[in-house]
Amino acid sequence: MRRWLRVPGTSISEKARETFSLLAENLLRDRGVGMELTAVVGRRWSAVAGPQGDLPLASAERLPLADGWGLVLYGVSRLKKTEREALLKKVEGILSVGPA
Amino acid sequence: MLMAVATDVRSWIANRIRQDEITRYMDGDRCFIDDGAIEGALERGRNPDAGRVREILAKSLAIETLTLDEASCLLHVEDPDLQEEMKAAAGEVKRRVYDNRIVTFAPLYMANLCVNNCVYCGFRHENSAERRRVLTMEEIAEETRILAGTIGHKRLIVVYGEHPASDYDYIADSIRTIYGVKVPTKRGYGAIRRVNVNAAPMEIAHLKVLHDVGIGTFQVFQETYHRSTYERLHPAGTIKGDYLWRLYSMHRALEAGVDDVGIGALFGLHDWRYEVLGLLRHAWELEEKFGIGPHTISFPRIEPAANTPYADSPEAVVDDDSFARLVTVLRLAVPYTGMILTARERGDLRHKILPLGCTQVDASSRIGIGAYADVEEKQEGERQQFILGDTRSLDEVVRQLAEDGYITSFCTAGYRCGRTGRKIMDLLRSGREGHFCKLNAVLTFREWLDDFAGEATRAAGEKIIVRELDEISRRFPEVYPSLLDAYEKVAQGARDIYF
Repeated sequence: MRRWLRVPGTSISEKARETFSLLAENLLRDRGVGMELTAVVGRRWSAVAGPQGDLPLASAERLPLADGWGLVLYGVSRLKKTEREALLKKVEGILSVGPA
Repeated sequence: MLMAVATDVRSWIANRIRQDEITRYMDGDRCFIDDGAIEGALERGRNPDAGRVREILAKSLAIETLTLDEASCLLHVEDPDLQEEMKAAAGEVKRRVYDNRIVTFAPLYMANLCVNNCVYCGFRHENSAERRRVLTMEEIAEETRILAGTIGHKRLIVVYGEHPASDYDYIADSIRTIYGVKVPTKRGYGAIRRVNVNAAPMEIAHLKVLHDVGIGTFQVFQETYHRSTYERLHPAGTIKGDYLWRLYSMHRALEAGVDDVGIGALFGLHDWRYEVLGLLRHAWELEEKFGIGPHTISFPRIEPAANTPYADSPEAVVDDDSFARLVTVLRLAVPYTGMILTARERGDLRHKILPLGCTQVDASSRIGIGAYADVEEKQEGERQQFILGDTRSLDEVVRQLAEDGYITSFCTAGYRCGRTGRKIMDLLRSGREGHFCKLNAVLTFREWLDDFAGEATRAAGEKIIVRELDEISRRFPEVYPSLLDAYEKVAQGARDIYF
């Protein structure tokens, strides 16, 4: 069935989306931290990519990124500061690939 | 001057509908509402076997969307015992997805100018009894101050007639105005955190403007999915007379990036069973094309309106028993969706219908233009679209909900932290979103009790809070310390903390 909208309101390559989702899956499996990539438009943070299945039941922390993107992290206190910084670099690297 | 204004309005009407934003979603000249398919399903569903009905209920309880044939079977159940089983299953579906939370909101009518002429509507262009008005931004701010600062609402549905004076740019300005209001309260501050919009169908470019100001859900009700009935009640030559422009509103909204959309039908215009299947077909269409079903379904019944004879005796009256049945089947057919039971209905009936799976109710509702700022509390048909059945205050509604074991949730977190569209649908289906909302319900209910509750309501609410905290400590021990930390902050006056 044809899908008209793959990524609401944003443009990101399918490869970048898959790479991000894989990173998010691993983070959830290994550290119990949920990570969703969102498109930020005004007050609305719309889901774009993330792990399959449930998010951990934990505080949601929002992190605005460049170019209208945002990360929502669930249970990020489980990560050390250095781990968090490394994670952000990886995400920025994925997004820097540019739009589809 | 008057002639120039009339010409401007005519020109605005003439340029409203974009055919390319209808046909791009269609399969050739076929739309997704197929009369024959719906009528066929209705015919096949007659005299359902009890075993088959129970199989369908099991599918609903697994939080799966039903097919038209399955929903049709449920619509034709006449056996009272089986109907009771269906009602119990509907309540259970709601508990699995949404737990014991009820979300509250208020309608805010901004303007009653309208270029359309729908025969059942008090706002129709030819209704000379209607007193027309468009709220100024200062009036909107004043209405918001009362809603957010005196009553304590956090969530609104803002409503507009279709007219150039309340076009998308006015809608965007009015939403910005609402979000800009912050009112000191006893312990914190009051503010509207989610503005949902009920407006006429729009083109994608205009929907993007609304998306950018941060709307919550965009609602357009089809009124009736039955095309020939639709065309009879919405005169040709009006914008609303174009069935397909309205039918594809949600497609355009989703394409514009508004990933929470609300559908609905106005019950009383055509056979209620047909409308239920129309709503279900609409939900399927959105799921198939976009991977996102409706965030909410509304099922208002037509109510009397000033100088509107049709509304006094609609042709397909839905009695209270049929209303309960249609709500039950909608809950079972689209298990993940929010269901809105409005104050059109009488308070005693809302009390009976709510356990069938509704998730949202309005309260302290006033639907006259500028009515929240009025000292006079009585309803005035001449400035309302219809007459409300339940005018109880939010305080009264919250108290009754608490006495019935529900927690009132003022949570608006989802759309502000990525739990939207497909993601929230998946989380609702798995029950996880219900867990997030359970935590957020406690936090927001604490806020509301401290800032707005009357003495009796506060007493009833405290019991609910104690029970909820106890349940959370047992069911979700891993997150309980974080919740308690957030709860203490809220009790000390912090606001808008969420999971």
